[in-house]
Amino acid sequence: MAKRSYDLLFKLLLIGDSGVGKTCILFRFSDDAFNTTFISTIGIDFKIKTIELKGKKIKLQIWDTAGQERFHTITTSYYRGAMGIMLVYDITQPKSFDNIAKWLRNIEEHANEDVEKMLLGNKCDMEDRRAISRERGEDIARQHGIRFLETSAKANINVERAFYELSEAILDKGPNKDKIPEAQPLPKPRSELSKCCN
Amino acid sequence: MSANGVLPSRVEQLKSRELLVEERMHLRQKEYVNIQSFHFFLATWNVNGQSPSATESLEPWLTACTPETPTFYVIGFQELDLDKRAYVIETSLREQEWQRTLEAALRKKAAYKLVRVIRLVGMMLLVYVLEKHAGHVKNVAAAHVGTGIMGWMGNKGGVGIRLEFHGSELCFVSAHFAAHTEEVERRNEDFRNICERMVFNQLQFPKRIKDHDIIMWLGDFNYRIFQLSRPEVQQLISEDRLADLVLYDQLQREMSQQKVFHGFREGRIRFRPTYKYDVGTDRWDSSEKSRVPSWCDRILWKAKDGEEVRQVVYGSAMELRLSDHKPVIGIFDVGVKVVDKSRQKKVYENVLKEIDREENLFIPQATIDCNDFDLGELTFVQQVTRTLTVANNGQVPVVFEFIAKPHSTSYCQEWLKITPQRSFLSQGDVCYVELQVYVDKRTVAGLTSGATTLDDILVLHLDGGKDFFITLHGQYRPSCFGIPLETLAAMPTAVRAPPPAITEQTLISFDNSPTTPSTTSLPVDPHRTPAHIPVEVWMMLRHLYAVSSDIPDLFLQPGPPDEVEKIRDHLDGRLPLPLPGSGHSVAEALLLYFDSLPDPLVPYRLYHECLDAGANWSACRFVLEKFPKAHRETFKAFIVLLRKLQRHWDQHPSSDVGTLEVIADLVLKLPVELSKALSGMGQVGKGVARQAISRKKTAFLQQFLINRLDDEPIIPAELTSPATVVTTFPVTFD
Ligand SMILES: Nc1nc2c(ncn2[C@@H]2O[C@H](COP(=O)(O)OP(=O)(O)OP(=O)(O)O)[C@@H](O)[C@H]2O)c(=O)[nH]1
Ligand SMILES: [Mg+2]
Repeated sequence: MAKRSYDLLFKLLLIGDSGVGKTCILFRFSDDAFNTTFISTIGIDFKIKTIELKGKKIKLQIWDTAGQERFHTITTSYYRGAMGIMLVYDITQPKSFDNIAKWLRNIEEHANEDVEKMLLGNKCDMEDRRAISRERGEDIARQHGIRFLETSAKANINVERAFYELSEAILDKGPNKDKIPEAQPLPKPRSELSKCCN
Repeated sequence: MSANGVLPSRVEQLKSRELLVEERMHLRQKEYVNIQSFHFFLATWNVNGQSPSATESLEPWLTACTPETPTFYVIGFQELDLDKRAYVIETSLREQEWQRTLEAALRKKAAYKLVRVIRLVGMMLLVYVLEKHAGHVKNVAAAHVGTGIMGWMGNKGGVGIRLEFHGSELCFVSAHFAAHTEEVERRNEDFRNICERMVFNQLQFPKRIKDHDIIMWLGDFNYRIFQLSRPEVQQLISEDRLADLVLYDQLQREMSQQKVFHGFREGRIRFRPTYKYDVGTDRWDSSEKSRVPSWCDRILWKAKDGEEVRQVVYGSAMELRLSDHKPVIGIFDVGVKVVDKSRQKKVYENVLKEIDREENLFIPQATIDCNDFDLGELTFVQQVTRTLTVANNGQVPVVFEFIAKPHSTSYCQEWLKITPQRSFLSQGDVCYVELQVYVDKRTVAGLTSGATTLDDILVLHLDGGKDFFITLHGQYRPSCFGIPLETLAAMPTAVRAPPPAITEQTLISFDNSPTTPSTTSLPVDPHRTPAHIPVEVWMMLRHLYAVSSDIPDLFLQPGPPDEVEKIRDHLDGRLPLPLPGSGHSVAEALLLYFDSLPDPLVPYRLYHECLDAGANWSACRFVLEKFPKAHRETFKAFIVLLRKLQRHWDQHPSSDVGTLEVIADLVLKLPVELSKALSGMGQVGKGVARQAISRKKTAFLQQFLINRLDDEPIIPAELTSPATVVTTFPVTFD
């Protein structure tokens, strides 16, 4: 009998201030490309990517959220059901770093209790404009007991690694009701928002 | 069983993403395999029901012909057992005898491992592989098809073994077709039958013979030499003119006419016919049947395009004499696709990527032309329409829908209407979604107080895809509508500054109005409104009081469209009377004002008391005293107007149909919790309750119409222009 090609489905979520590079990180990972023009995400989008980890094929469904403040009450409703969350800041923007605590609170309030978290300090290619040292990033990650990596979507540094490490952390937690074996049809990507009128 | 295995439909198979990966890998096999040649030894022998001979070794047959060590031995036997009981008996002693003898001979050559053996009555097929290559043999399966007596019994038919060696799929079929010279068509039929009915369904995805890269048939196909007499045949053989003799071979003839073994190849026959000999000799059949010598035993192969199969030997083993047939041998160099693991991994990753890319491509996609709408400034009953264009620029149909945000039950604010809220878009289609903003009586109070604003975020969800956020923002320009009575009555100036041209006129105004203190800093009310009544309400009351008697169905019929907007502007500017538009529209505006109040003319908190007081005049007066001043004074003025209307209704009874009920309903508005309780009742109960309530409301109003209060305001009967007013009243400052 041939082996099963797809074993698991992981739902991941990217959050963080507007402009820190969430969409670019996802684009780098899924399409191996980068775009310098900034088109702020006004909504929620996702991409599919299959990876192999420890002999298992894992289908990642990665959700990219709008970072703009005015959408926060809406975007937090998409946290539920995420098995991994990447919280991104921009190493050249102190404000995005200061907001980490706020984002973590959002996760606390709205995400599943056992969600795997990871902190990414993005744009590490811009050494000359660095405002947040790597140590500060490591420190805050250690304080909150979450994984940390500095990444660059532009220079393709640590992007793949970040997704693999987060996925591995989810995989290592062992069987979980949310990890959907691919034998069933994929659930439709669905936000937590309720339909009205039905 | 094998013959009737059911293949899953193609559609079903494609549903599986796993199969898709497999299929893609297969298509790209060339990218990760190297062709490596392996030696295959095939042999077929009709043993005529004999046991292996104790004296006759199989070695010359199996090993002599090839100096190399074959990777595979594929051996087919026919007529292992001629005993008729063998048709029905499952186990055969012969099978084990022959297998043991065969393996004894192979052992002398090298270490071989049996891949599979299959037997159907007298037909047996065995596949051996050199032990060191055994690890590369996968997905082995065997099947058999009987075509003998009654079309299915196993005295004739075929047995097959399929396997994958490295990346190549191989299939071997050993068969025994119908006998007798004249039965050519039966033999062709046997071939077709076996091809059709043989299914290897022990596999995850069942395969047929034709589904293989390389197919090899060996066996006693029983095709004869025809059109020549036995002496003629013997003559040609003795002269070694085998090539001439082959022209009379039925199989070659049938193949050239594409009646059997279509697409198959056979090596040049350079060996004597293998049938029929006297047992124990190399002499042609001397029995009375005196068979014409024939090439009954053959080996044929077929390879898909690009496969490399080269026959090195095609011959017979004359040394073996225990049967009336001679064994036939075919040795092949077969190009096998050997997988390069590291290249395969790369292609595999690539295939996964490709499938991901396609899946991403097939996520419903759409674009919208705007995600931020500026509604500008708008006021009460002013309609603003914006259009959102949704275009399906993806690869699949799209269903889009505006969905509710968290903690809200509706997908948009009350002042917004979206059409359509949900729609289907085929590929390339465009939908224009209308966003209608309209501040009406339900929403005006909230916007006026600032409890709500003209801001909203819509969530446009694509079924199975992304969500768009669409923001809307506008400024609400306050109007008198929605402003509480008390507030409006206390407002010294117009809600909106009047246009400059009129301001001057208004400034030549009067100070002796009882409502406004005559300070220079405040504009003076030109309408001489009694205290605690909002100027705007007074304007409408005065207008209606003056015109009412000429207009039938006042308060029952709406006015022409747009007039309420003009009246609104006039009121908001506190401009001179008369109001624009028809009396109907002014009446409509007045009711609309009452209906838009956050707290109705009869305050909610006094609702029950009023209803209970209905029959009793002093009780009614008592409740009225509890009204806030602005409510009380406005109510009294309104009664004055109604009383005048009532006189009119008395003259024209037909126009009185329910006017008072309508008005009573607006003035004595059902508190929210009560209307909820009502809607929870059954249809009949609801109707009865409503009627009872309506009667009480009307009774309350009636008390005030019948009895008269001492301090009712006097509404001027004439609509005088400010110019006239100026001449009537002294001007205090000039
Ligand atoms: N130098 C550099 N620029 C980056 C990097 N990642 C993103 N950017 C730039 O930063 C800007 C914002 O990137 P986005 O990915 O659109 O930001 P976002 O986090 O998705 O923002 P929102 O959608 O508004 O939440 C773009 O102009 C990118 O080109 C990076 O690693 N290095
Ligand atoms: Mg973005």
